[in-house]
Amino acid sequence: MLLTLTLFAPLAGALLVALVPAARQESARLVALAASLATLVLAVILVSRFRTGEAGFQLGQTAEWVPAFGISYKVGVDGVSLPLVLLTTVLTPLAVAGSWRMTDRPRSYLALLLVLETAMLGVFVSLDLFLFYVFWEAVLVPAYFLIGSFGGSRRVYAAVKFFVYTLSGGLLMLVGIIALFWLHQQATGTPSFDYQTLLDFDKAPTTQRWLFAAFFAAFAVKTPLWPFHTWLPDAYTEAPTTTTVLLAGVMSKLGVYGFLRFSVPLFPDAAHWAQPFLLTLAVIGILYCALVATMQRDFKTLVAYSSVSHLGFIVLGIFALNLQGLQGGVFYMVAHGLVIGGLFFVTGMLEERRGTRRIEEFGGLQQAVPRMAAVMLVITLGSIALPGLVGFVGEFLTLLGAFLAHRVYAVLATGGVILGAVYLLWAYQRMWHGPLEREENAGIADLSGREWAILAPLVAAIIVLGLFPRPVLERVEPSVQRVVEQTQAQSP
Amino acid sequence: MHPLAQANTQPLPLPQVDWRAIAPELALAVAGVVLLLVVAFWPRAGRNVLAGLTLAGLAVAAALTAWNWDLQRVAFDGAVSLDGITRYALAILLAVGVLATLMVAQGDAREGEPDDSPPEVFPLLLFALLGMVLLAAASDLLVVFIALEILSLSLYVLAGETRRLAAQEAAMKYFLLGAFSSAFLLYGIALCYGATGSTNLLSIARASGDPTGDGTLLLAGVGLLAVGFLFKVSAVPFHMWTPDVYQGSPTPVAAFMAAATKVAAFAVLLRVFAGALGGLVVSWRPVIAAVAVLTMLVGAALAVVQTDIKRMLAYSSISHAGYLLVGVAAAATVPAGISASMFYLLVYAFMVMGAFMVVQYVSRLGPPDDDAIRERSSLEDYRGLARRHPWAAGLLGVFMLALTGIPPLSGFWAKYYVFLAGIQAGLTWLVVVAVISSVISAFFYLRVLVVAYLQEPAGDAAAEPAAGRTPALGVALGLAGLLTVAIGLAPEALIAAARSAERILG
Amino acid sequence: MDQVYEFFTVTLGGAFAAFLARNVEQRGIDGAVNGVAELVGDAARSGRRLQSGLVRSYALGVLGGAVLIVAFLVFRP
Repeated sequence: MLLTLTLFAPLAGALLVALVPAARQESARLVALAASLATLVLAVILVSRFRTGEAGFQLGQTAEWVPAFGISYKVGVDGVSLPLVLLTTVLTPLAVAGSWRMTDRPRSYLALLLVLETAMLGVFVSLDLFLFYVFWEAVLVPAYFLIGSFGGSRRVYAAVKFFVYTLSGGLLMLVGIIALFWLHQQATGTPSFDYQTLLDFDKAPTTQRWLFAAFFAAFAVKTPLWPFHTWLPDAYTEAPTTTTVLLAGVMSKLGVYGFLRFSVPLFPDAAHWAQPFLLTLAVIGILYCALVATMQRDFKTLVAYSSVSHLGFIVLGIFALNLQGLQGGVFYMVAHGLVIGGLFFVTGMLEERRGTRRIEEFGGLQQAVPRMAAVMLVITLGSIALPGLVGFVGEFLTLLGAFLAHRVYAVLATGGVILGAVYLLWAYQRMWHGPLEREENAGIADLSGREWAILAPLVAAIIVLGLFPRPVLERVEPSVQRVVEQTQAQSP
Repeated sequence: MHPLAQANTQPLPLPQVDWRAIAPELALAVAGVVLLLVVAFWPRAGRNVLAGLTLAGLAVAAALTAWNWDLQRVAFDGAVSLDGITRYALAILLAVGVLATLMVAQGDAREGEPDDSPPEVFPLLLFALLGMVLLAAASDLLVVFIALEILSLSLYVLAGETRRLAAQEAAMKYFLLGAFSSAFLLYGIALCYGATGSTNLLSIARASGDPTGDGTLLLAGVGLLAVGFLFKVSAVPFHMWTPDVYQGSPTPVAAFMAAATKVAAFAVLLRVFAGALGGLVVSWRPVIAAVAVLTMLVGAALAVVQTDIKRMLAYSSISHAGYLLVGVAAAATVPAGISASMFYLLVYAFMVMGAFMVVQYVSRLGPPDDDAIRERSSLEDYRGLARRHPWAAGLLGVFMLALTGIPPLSGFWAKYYVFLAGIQAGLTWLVVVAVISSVISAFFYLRVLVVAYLQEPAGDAAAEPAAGRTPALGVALGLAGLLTVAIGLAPEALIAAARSAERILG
Repeated sequence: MDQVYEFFTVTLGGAFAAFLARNVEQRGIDGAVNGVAELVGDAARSGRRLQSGLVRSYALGVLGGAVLIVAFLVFRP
């Protein structure tokens, strides 16, 4: 029950927000904040009730939905989805707070953010394949409106590209889901979309490969995995700041979560077969996006490419198909969410003040806004994976996993770490260090109380989890260990 | 003695008259005649009175349908079947009839324009429904033909019932092409009769399994039958009338055609092909599959470049006919094909009527338009609709997203069910084509939303006259929208009901 | 020595990065994605021209389709 409440609380909040009368839009902000904080509280309770050390799904709930098709409403969390649920419920109130000064139809905007939250949470907690698919596609609608209705100058193009691209992948996955369902029904006579049931169902290697490919279509686009990534820079750049925070912080985890939860355990033979291919794409993505990032003049686009590059590490970890890699992958998902959220928040704050995101327009900001500079430095270093900060643990574990699986990829990927440092530090230097030459930059205000409230938790998490990653790793490990076993079980 | 006189010296056997079996049809016929008399002898009757009478007639028919619900039999010596398909189709058609009546009652005249459609619309609507209901229940090819003609003739007149020239052109085109394709149908019936010795579907079914019969002749007949039916459902390449006719006809009529005609025509397609000709599935399945591919792709692709929303909806309905054809293609070997198609028809009817209802609403906005040729239905009129009329835009969003097949709206379940049937029948490649078509369709459905939500209203929004009070349309929109969302969240009941259609009698 | 480093990392690397950003990313991959969208649009526009508005063309379509279907059924059952 608790999980269902957590899942639908944001949706209920969205309805309440939509009902706020047009004349009192400011109240909408309070309602949205209250709803998202309530969801966070529920999520924290979930975490407290979670029994560490258990590999299976907990705190779940099952109910019939469309028995004619074998579809049930089945939800639950395990060591992999729990941190992601928490990440989502943490970032959403921050995003709501970040949207405080939005004057253009705040009601619709906040309602859409909350609907997006429910859809994303749904993806993480669904244990019925069909339910998962419903939530997966449901993410598209609020995201499309958020980008297209509230975004920058090329927002319509970005939104349509995002929608159609993601929909294509999703529909191919639907074919795969149906095929899997049908094969199972033919073999056992029972119609079921239940995750555990389909997991136990033995599939022939060739079949596995086709199904893997179908699911790959959706997850590769969503992650995004090179070369299916081109929707992302436009979507992230054109979307309003707090939307980008949620897209980059949470929505980007949907794809890698899908790989981890579905592609690998359901089709282990195919996962091994596809491993070199996936690792190659991951490494190319890491290096390619890092290089392209260096060429960006718009800081937001730079961070967007950086995001894709780092997601490559997560894919690398997952498809190392060993304990370290998988665990690192999950941890990195959380780390990435925190760091990228922080990066986009600060970008937004700068944009609010100066109306531009072009790197060349800035310079020497450290002198004008020292506190913001300090915060940005911590976040940037976290992204670069400085030891002691959260990014390091993730990157280290994924690289270790990759190294243990296939050395070559790890070595190449490490190059990506260096490149990451290059473009981020270079950008930081250009924007924050050096002489403060421009008039406009001198006059900007430092962090306000509200902005501190948003960034402080992120910075704290980046530092604390970097120094004490164990609480997260402890909860993640058993579930990840099980995934590893499932993968080894059927592999040669 | 003259040879023909020798052939048949026995009196014609009269079938057992089973009043109960055709009670709903009779109700519709009686209601239609009553309304015709009312219109003839009481010219000053208000539209509301006529609409009320029509709704009463529909209600009676609905009650009789409910009374007949558990009947499962063949009547009139096999001419009419009462089975799952009949029931389900009846239910959908009556619901569509109610919505269409509401739409017609509202009319699409703007403030200051003369009220356009003459009162004959109401009896014609009932007669068209009569034809459709009979078509869905027919299990003899001659009854099929009669029903088809009843429905077609009513629709031809309905399409032209307005002062604008475009409508009359549309009606003319529909009539000419419809008559042309009816000729094919009739010739097909003749060939089938020649091949099997009967026009009764059950007899044809038996005869088609007989290897000593004239297979080639039967196949030719089947092909021509297909042409007739495929024309009615707007399959490619028999679809070319659809954009012109939907665009030219008055919006309520276009909506009625888009929804109801398909229900009836697909019902008979299923009955004839999946039912009677099930044994020949190996022959006709590739044909239906190929037509499905063309229909899905052409419908979706051509919709992308339309600037007129009624034309766009016409192409959209062509593409949906394609998805339905996937269900038909699966139907002979997979019972889910039948239930999937029926369920799809149910969901689709409400979605497409809902979309047309919004079109009707928007066409009422604005100053009086004395264009004698056509009514404006350009996408430009929808700019910034979300700011001007948020509720209308919201409903438009619901219907567009449902038509795209986005969960958790009803259209998603319909597509899913058809995909499932397709995969079960081993037609996975066809399902992949359907996926491609769905992706393409996202382009144009989204474009409507882009215009309505993401673009600024043109000109001075404040100066625009309101749509006036639209109680009938409001009710209809509410029903359609509610159903689309409700079925999306809880499709179980209606899917289970569709399953009962899987047993075809005759 | 520094200059050698600089040449390789900054100049060459920068050039490579620029190449990737413009030619591969913008023209290549994104071009392919947008190209697909354009393809659909072009196909649609040419298909549009078949809709002439003339009844006789439509009737020809019906006749043509009928011939194809019957021919297929009869000669390749």
